[in-house]
Amino acid sequence: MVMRTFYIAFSLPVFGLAVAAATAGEIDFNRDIRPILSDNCFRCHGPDESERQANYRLDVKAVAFGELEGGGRGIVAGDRAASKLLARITTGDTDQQMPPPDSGKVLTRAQIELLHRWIESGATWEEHWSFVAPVRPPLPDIGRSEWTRNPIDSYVLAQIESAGESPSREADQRALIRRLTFDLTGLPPTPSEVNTFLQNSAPDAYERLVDRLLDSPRYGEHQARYWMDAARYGDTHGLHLDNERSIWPYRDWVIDAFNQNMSFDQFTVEQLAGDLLPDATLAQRVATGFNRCNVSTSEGGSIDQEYLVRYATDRVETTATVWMGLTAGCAACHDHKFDPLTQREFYQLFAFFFSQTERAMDGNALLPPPSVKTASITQRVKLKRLEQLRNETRGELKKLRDESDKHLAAWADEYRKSAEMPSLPEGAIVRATFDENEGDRVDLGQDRSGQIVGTVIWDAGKQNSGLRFDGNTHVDLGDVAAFDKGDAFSGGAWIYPTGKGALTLLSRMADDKAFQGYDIYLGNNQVFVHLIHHWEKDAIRVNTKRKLTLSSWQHVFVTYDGSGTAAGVHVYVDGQEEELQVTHDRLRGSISTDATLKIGRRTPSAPFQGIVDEVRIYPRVLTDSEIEALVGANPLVELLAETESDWSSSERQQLLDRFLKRREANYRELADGERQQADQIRRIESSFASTLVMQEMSKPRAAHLLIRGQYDQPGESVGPGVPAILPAMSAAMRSNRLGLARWLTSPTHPLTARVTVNRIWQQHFGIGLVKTTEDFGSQGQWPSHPELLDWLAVELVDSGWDVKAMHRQIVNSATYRQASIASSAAYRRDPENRLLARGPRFRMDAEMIRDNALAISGLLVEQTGGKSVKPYQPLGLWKAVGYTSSNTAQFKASEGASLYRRSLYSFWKRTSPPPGMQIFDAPSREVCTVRRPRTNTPAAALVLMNDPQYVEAARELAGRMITVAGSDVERIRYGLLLVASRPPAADEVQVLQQMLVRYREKYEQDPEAAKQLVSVGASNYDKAIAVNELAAWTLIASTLLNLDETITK
Amino acid sequence: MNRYDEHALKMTRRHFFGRTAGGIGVAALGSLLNPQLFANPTNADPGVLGKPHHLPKAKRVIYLFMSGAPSQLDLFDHKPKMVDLFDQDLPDSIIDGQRLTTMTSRQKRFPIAPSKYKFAQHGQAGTWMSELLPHMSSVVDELAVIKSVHTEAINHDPAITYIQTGAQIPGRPSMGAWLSYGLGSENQELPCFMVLHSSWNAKRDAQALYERLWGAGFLPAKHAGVSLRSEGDPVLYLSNPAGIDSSTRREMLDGLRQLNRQTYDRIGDPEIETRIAQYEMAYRMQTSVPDLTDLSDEPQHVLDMYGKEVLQPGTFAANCLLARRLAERNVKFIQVFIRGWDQHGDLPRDLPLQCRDVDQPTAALIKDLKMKGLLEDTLVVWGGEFGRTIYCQGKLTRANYGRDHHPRCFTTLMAGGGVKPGISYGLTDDFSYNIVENPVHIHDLNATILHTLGIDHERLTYRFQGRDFRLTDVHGRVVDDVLV
Repeated sequence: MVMRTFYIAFSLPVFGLAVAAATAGEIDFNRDIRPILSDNCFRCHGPDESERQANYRLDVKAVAFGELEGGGRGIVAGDRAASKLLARITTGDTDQQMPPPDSGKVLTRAQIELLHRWIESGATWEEHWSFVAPVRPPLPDIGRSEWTRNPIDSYVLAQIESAGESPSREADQRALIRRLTFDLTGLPPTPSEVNTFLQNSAPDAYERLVDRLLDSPRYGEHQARYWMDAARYGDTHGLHLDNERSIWPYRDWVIDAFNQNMSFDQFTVEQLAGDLLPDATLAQRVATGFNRCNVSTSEGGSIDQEYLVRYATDRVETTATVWMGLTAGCAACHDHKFDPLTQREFYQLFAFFFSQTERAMDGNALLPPPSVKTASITQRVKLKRLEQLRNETRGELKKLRDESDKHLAAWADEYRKSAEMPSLPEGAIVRATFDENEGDRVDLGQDRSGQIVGTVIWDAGKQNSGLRFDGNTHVDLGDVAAFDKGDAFSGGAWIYPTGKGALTLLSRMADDKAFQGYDIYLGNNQVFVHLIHHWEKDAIRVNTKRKLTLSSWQHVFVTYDGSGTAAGVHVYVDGQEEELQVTHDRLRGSISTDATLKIGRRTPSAPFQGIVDEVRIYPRVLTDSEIEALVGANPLVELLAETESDWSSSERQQLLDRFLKRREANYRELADGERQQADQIRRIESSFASTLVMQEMSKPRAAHLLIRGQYDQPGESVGPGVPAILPAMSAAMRSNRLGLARWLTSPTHPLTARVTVNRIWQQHFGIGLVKTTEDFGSQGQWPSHPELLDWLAVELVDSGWDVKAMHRQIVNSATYRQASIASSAAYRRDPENRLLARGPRFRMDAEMIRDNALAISGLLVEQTGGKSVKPYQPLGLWKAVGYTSSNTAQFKASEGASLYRRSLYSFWKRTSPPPGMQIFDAPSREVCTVRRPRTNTPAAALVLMNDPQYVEAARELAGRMITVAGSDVERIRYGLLLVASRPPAADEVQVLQQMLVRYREKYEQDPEAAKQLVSVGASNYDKAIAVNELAAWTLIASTLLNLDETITK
Repeated sequence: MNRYDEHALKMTRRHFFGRTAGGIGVAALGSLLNPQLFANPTNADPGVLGKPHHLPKAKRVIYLFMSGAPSQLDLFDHKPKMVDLFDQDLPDSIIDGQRLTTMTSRQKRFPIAPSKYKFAQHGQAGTWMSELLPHMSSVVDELAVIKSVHTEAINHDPAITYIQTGAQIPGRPSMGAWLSYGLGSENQELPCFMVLHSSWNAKRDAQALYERLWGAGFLPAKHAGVSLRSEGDPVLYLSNPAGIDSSTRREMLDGLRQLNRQTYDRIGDPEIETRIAQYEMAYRMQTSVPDLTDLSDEPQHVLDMYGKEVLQPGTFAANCLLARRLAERNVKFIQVFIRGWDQHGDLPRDLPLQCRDVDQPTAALIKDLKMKGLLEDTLVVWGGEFGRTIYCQGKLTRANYGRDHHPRCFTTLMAGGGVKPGISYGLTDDFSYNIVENPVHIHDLNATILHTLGIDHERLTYRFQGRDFRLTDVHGRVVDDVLV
């Protein structure tokens, strides 16, 4: 590729690049011709069937070269005269002219010339480059091979040399460590880190530095910050009321995944489909928060279906942008105008995301379901330590029990003979003590167990542990206690109710079969018993007149004599029979049901809230004295009533535990310790935050092609599937999100790796090899270095999608290590640095600018993960837009350390994002963003000069300068080392000294102003420094924080 | 800017900045004495269009946005026949299968609620107006009353996002951002798109606004509307921190400029020069904005015209006066929001309060613009995101009623800037439910607004995700009938 006119090309708009490139060399169809056709012709002669004119399309070779409706051919290779395409674009007849005059499209002379030359030279046709899987291209021939450090450099140098240019020299050590530290951690190097690096003469000092930075926990935060834009992360719902939502544990997950260097394919699979992985871990479910980050509404009057469609559409658009660089949204209403993506294919992608259990209306709730509870990064560390301790204690307890097992029979006999042994009812068919205190199964006796479904929270019970039900919990006991109306039975439990609504204690009842079955439940704190064949015409219902006490332990027990009448039902609370009210007494049919026996829920309504312990069910009517005994009893007695051979192994352990606690002080102490540890763990777990996750409906919701994208105009029904232009899903991939994720990360997928390396490249160089990071389709820009892009993509896949390795490759290259100092003429020739003949230099992103100021001033609080924080922002911003009753209508700044966390953790209200971030081009995060603009405005200047965050940082920086060094010159030197990682030049010192003289004069004369200036911000100024001196230096420091160099990497 | 101008300007700047360390004082003096240096016309940012597509009638727009959707039935769209149909069911043939919000779609009945307010004809044109708007009634001969505006969105968030950005879902640039991008700014001391938020006196609960309504969407952030606030700094971060006065700021900026200049000399990145210029503009904003918001130079009779709330910052009256002052300063797009128009119930309690907030200031603004000779090239728009239903939401009595959202017709007012004065346009049926003549879709309305500014709405585009986006999506038709 020879480009004599390269520079002209770069100063022209994108298609100018292609034109200029090709005038001097051979024509590349994808680079030079397709963009002309796509931009000017595809609208009517492209993929969109409904818009296609004259049945002629220029995106498919067979048709483009085929016979025209009116005879002849549009394109005849090598024959300009026979190619009607050329005739139509050059004719002066406005009826014939293409593109039609009213289209607003006009081909330039250069473009027309190119089309002529292309046809003349044989009209070579290629598929659109990004839909063809990349192969590792050969290394180009280059002259100065000594300059290169890795293959990246060969590709870059080849173009620099073809342009007749040379690469820049390597940046100096200071510039390198500054650039690297910002690029890999988002923060500046400290002066001592700079010094260490300068003094390290080892040949691999640079590479070691790279490794150190990649290992820093700040790396994961920095990477996560980019990802939050792509994931459209926000701390509010984003529409209408814009209330707070809790999804920051997902952000923690992302930070952690980057820090652990999770491979990008795994990173993809867990976020798109972690919940569908076999035996999905909690973390994998948290990861699916990616697709719960979309904006949602609960505006009164909204129509559910409309929003369900919008949510799924957003997920398709986001997934397509992030992984494929495809503008899929363009195919929601009609076939894509430019890319081979039909409307039907859009809805096939849509079908992957349309069957979620989420509700259309978020209820303005913090946690619109589904959600899970999970630990923050700090909690995880604490928990790990505690769990280890507790396991050790448990091990010791177990050891002691095992050693005593041989005494069990003797101890049991001894006890049976003692006076403590009352007579207890025998023959329980369910005996759940809830003493497991861990896991998700409950022992029922008789070698059966029940499954805990939903949230599992073990808590203190009436006796030992019990199970807490949070409204999402129940225990499925299976096909047990299958009583019919003629059977006598009894059952009950210790309960600690915390909710007031309809709470089910025990049931075998099918809501959808007219509630056939039986239950014991609480309504308005009264105990209700139902025996139902068909509610309400064929049923018995009684309820206690008295109410239970909330948040208190009570024993509830019910007996039924099989008489089929309300008179046969009795209810006992704490062993005393209750007076009953009969509301229904007409049971004719069967109450037998397929619904399983459940603790804490019907099938599926009326979930219990509170704690349940000691559930017992008997296939007979218990006597009053038996029930009384149950209330007063401990399970030890109950077990001892049986013979040794009836004990299960867990029951043996329970008995040993009881006996040892009575007998051995040492065991008691250990057990107390275990209990405390468990309590601590429980306390941490109960403070876990919840986070939104994805969950598939058990029966998928049917997806349809939506005519013109309208939710209320369904066309043909479509199932999940992928676009035909891309590789098919393999047979092993299931037609769900998991299959989609595996398909995206299959090694043959032409887009995922390219799009991913391009984004990484963009982080370092400020612009992607493909400038249109979000569009790799035919309207996207031709890559500046196509071979390099492919090489990197193949490298990423071959490395096992190793993201840190990819960063390492890039930053270790000579390309990256070039100095960014150049002539202003060179900057003007290639303002975006597409040729890569110098090092990257651009203004940092919003978050980096603020984090940098906090770090430089020493204010930064480095704490990884956790809930979002609210640093300063001007008053009234939320109130100006907020729905009056929104819970984010009033802004209240955080206090203390939370004011100084990294900006990644700033609370993101999407209808009014942090202003200091927006002004520096941070997106609102209402939609997926993979490329930020970079503007240079007066508003930005005002932020850096006047935002209290920066004024306070300037004062702290001033304090550091004053404290660390003695003379003015030394202080200035230290300041520059902090903000620019380099000592000042003589003229800089001179300017700053002159400024200092003026400021000192000013604040000596006006101590009140000095006092005001140093009092800005929530932190206290250093009282050891004279106020006027501190004020003068604060202005110097503010000047330093405002330097172009300070906010530029 | 042509090449010669660019060169000349650069020379001026270079001269202006000076290059020696000793030059601080001189440069400072220079910039203090010659604040016009950057404000000269050759330095105006011409926007992406360079020049308009056709000769503009309007140079700027003041858009008075009534968030929540005012009832056209009680203010503008007089339906006298409804009185006899009180509490009768709205015929199914009128609803005609149209989708309703889920707030009323499950209502058993759709009883007709006639407006309880008296209407009269005003002005030479005989324009119908409700008794709730006595002041606006006095300027009807300046107004084009468009009664046939319609939209598809039926709830506030999507509807207001739609009318402001051309799409119901977030992500697109707002109208003002499009104008900033297309036309640039004639005033280098103020942003070219400014937004004002008003307090309101009716029921406290009001629909939300969203920054996307004046956001830049996928356009660069500099095109976003800048709020002119009544609380704290009028423009975010405008004021120097306590303890830094203007002359100290000037000194700091002079030093900063020298240091940045030295960096530029060393590194060569022209972005540094741009940054230097932006700091200068920030400094000028620090004086021009307080000038703007300082009302002490307004004569009493002008203040009186806007009503007694005009001196209360943040009221609609105060904001209307500020809008006129912004118009005088050639700010291109000035948008004043007032919330509280969402009368689902108790309309007779709240609507008069809303009207009292806006009636006198709106009329005053139009008169004031006219007196200053600004009305002819300033387009004033007054309207909300949709209309309200003829049928009652909730309980209907003669004295009290409420109205649900109605997308199929509503009224928007326009004045000045090339709009035909004293006309009513568009016709709705007897129920103000369906349009029977001259429908104006919100895309048409937006296309028309752009047209008055000299912009062909189909040709102001921005390529994003491979597509040339525009404010009016793929729709919109200029409503020539309402233009002079």
